[in-house]
Amino acid sequence: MVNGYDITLSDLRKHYRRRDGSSVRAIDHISLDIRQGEFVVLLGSSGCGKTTLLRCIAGLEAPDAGAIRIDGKPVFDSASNLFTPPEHRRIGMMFQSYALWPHMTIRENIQFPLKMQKVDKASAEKKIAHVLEMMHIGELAQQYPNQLSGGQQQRVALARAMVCSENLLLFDEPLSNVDAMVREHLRTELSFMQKELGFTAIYVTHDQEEAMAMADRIVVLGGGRIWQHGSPEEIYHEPVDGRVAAFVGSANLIPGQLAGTEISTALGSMTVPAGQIRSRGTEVAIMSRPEHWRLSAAGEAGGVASPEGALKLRGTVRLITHLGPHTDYIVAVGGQEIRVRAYGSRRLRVGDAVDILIATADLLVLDPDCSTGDLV
Amino acid sequence: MKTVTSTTPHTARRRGIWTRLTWGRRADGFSLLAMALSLVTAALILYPLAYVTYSVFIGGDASIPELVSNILGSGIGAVVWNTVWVIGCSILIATLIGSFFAWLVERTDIGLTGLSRFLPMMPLFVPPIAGAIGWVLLASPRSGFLNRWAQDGLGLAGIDLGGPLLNIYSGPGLVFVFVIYLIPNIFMTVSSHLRNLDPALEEAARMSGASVMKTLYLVTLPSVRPAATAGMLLALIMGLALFSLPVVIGGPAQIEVLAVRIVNLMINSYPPQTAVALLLAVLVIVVISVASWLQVRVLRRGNFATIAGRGIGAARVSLGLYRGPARVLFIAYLVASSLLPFLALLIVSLQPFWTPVINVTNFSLQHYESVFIQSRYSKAAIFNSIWLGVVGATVGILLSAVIAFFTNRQSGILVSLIDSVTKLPGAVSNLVIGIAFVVAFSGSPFYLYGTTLILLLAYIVLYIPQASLSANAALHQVGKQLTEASLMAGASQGMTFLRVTLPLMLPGLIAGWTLLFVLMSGDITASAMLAGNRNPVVGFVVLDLWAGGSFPQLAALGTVMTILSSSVVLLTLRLSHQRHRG
Ligand SMILES: Nc1ncnc2c1ncn2[C@@H]1O[C@H](COP(=O)(O)OP(=O)(O)OP(=O)(O)O)[C@@H](O)[C@H]1O
Ligand SMILES: [Mg+2]
Repeated sequence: MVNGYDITLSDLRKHYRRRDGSSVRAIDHISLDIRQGEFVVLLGSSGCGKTTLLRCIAGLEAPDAGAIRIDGKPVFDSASNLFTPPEHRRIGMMFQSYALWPHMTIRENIQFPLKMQKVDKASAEKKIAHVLEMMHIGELAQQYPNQLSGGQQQRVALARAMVCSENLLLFDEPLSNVDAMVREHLRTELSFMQKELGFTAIYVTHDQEEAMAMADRIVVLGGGRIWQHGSPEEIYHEPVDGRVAAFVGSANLIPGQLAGTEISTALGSMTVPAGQIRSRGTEVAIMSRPEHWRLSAAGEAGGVASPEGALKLRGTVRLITHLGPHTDYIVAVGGQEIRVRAYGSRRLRVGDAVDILIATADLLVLDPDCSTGDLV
Repeated sequence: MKTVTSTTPHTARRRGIWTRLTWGRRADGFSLLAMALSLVTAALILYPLAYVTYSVFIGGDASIPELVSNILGSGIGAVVWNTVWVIGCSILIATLIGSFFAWLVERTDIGLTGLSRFLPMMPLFVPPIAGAIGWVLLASPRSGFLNRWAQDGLGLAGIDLGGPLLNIYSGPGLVFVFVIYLIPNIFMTVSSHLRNLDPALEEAARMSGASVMKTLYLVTLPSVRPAATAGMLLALIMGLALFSLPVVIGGPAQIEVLAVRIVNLMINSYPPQTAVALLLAVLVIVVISVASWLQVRVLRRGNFATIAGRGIGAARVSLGLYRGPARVLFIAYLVASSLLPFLALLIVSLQPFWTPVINVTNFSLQHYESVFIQSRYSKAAIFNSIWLGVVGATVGILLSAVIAFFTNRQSGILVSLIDSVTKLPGAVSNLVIGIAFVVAFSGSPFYLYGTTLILLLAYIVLYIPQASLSANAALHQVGKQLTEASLMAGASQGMTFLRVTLPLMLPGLIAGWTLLFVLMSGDITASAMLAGNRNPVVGFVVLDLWAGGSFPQLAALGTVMTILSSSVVLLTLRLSHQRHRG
């Protein structure tokens, strides 16, 4: 078990100039502390700056401003004009295209970083043998990359990255090129390996399921900024605003105006426990997760009762999606659509009138997004 | 266990003026070397151009209005008109045929994959000067082989033509040879684009109900338009600078084009009318710049088709009944551009004197003997051309590879300057470079006139655009992430270049080297102005023999040039083929 590196990003900024002269803030004042051995996933929609941030850490891009410290040592600091090139940062990186050198065999590919880092022959051999065995690619050592399947290439790419560094590995959507089965398998394997070996991992993806499955901490990015960071549970159950809620998992957002604990919405006025109100402004969104709703045919005997501390609405089924263990219903309630996830069969059909019910403790009152919240 | 420290003081770098120039990138030993090489190259390109501009137009005693009236009085109108229609027609025809060939090879079941690999290299097998002479031997009105055969053949059938069937010494004749030498430019750019074009685009069109022809017209053609315009621009630059074809064929046909006029002003008038020549050459520069600007506009307007890069397994269009004729057409081009002129050269070189009647019993090697053994002058020329070609091509391609790697890894004002400077000679045309080298390096303080060094330098500068095109193309074959992966593995810039980028660029660089070797060893334009009795090269000797009208000796020289370049091309083709398989 080795020590993973810790990383500190302070107020990083990076902009690109487009061909037409406009400028894009790919990274907009990002600060973040990453602990030793942590598995951090950068999650965000396309073009939000994930790759740019990762490449800044790698040293493949130079930020405009800010500072980066890796393992306590500064590698970039705009104040003192410091920039350490990637070849001196000793970071492993797995590229989306794998980037295996086609003129070298698998063994030579894996050997290359060790040669460059002038590791002595005996320990290099040991290391290569170890990683070949660990990744189950020993029998491929003499092959060239173009003789390998996609999944095998991926293993080699991971092996090479791990040889590059035992302390910090970067991944830019490494699993996006293979089918779901292989992806799931490699995902599990990678998680195990990271826990076992103890390196710090920064992993870029826009697949929220992947993020949930692998991360110790998810960093949700949008428009070059950090929207929220926290453990997968935190991000899912305590999103800071409507955008994050909508991006991670599916969320029902009902817009409304807040006054005290009363919220007036298009569906009428609702009261939410004070502890569930996270908004700073008065324009709010009431967030609920589909699995917290319960549903029954309208007026059905023995159906959903309306106990104290619950919200009950009547609507019509719009769409039914069977997803195996559970079924998703889109229920139209007074112009709003609410997704309800139910387990077991209900014998409902599209067009049926239904009652849906949720405990008010399961509602969260959020700002639609933080930036507007800041203004109020 | 923590084995490595990520930052040591010498790797951390203060960002000063250097950084601002090369924006945010690292300056290690390799970058400095690359920088130095780039600057030397840039100086070698810029110095003569700046010097000639200054000494002729500013420091000299020429007055521009006087020059202009001088030029206008010399019948320049006809020359410009000739240039416009000869080059214009040639480019149009070459574009049509070249794109058609590209489509045939990349998208239909024409087959001929072996032969089509040779097509882009046609001008490399038979250098233009040799090809032009070959076609003179084939189709000159009085004793051209084809004319004589046609006469005999038709005579047997009882038809009397009453005159020669073909006349190479004519407008169409000149356009014909131009077309032959311009087609490969178009073919190369269009076919490589087609190869990279995701066939799914065309398949989607077919699935949407478009016929083969509709798909070709509505999807394929629009998406190769950028490539076709790029090819046309290449053809224009090459066409305007080609001196060998119009001097050999345009001379007797009395069709003078700009390139010929400019070279003649420099070498056939005493004293050389440098100022007039330069002013005319500036006209060429203006035309090329306008064309490049137009091309950029076309490129910007046409949305780039998605290049997926996995264009294998494209379903090919079945030509059906047209397959035969298409093959014949394709092969006819190959024969007309290489086999026929080569055979004509070979036959005439063996004859005692040029005659359309072939009599094998008269064949002898006497002309080879006189050219290559008896004349020390042409022996020296051959020797010079070969070593200049080898050294020039090697230096040129390595220089370009380093510069390409460097400019692609870095960005900044300086880097984009270097990038444009290396493209400059392409836009400036060979003629200006030739003139500039004569003026800048002949006298004090260099005194390079009559040396092979001036030729070597001129060749490198002249062909640096082709070299950097090849090097950049080779570099783009190497995915960016492959290079980045090496940096992440801890390899320095120099190590990355040597161990990863250069080996992967090698096939492309070998092809580039071949191109440079053939261009340099067969160069006519610059050699006409820079070579002499003290530093003869093959191109110079050919012009000399041409002026003297000694056809069999010309044919012997042309044959040897053709064999020499063909063998180099075939050898490198073999080499790169083997590497690909390995
Ligand atoms: N070299 C560049 N030149 C100009 N703009 C760039 C460049 N690289 C990235 N950008 C812009 O910066 C922004 C962030 O890009 P980045 O590649 O980091 O996104 P991403 O989050 O990785 O997206 P994806 O999930 O699609 O990979 C985008 O708007 C992109 O257009
Ligand atoms: Mg990305």
